[in-house]
Amino acid sequence: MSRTDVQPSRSWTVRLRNRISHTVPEGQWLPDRQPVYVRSWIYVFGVATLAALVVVIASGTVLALKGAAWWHTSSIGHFFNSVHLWSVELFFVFMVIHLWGKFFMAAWRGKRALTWITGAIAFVGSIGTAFTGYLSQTNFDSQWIAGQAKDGLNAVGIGAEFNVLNSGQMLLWHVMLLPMLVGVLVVLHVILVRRHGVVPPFDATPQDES
Amino acid sequence: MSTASGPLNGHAYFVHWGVVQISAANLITIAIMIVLFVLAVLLRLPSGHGADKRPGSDDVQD
Repeated sequence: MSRTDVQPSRSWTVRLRNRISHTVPEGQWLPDRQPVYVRSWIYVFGVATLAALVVVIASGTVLALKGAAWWHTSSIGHFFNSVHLWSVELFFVFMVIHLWGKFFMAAWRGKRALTWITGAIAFVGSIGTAFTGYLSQTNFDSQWIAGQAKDGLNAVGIGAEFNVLNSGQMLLWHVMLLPMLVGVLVVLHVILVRRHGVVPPFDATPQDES
Repeated sequence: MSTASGPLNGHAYFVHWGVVQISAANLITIAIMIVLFVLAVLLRLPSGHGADKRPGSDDVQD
């Protein structure tokens, strides 16, 4: 074995490459086999949440391309507006059932605390994204929600920085800042799930893991 | 600018239970989520086309 094999490289690209390639064990990025306990509907809701998120982002991208006048006045705009709303509804339904399942499995077991934390913060970030989405509808509904929300946010002291009556600010939070936050957290969450594997049930045996 | 049509034009129906007030739509959605959760725990996922049928194998292969 040469000296270069045992000493860490001084090249940052080599160190970064090694770090990335060792983040997830070999064969776990897109596994074709899972432990026997994964054959359960409760393990389906995580990936169902991801599928709904893909539809949310795709329909939101179309709405951003065409603009508010389009989604209010054209039939195709109404359709994409509805697809965006209902994919968000399904996203939250699947995510909350996923949360219930993982809570009752104590999914933070086995060095999975960071997986749990990234999921929890992504959930909170998703609520903020949905809230700013309601404020970005540009209709009487969004005006009413903003009028109601301003008092609560002013009461906790953040109304000056996060002004729900400022529709431009809310739209930019909705289409840029919060989706970026949720997107990064979801990627981290999935990487951590692949790194540590899905959490086993309490009564799983070592044979179940094989 | 056209307005929302259909069910969105009507007044929302609210359920009042002491200090709790919740729209029927939200209550029904939560009930569906609880039913889905219970079914997901109780029902067995059917085997996929690629399921490993070898004797002694406990692995799922999809």
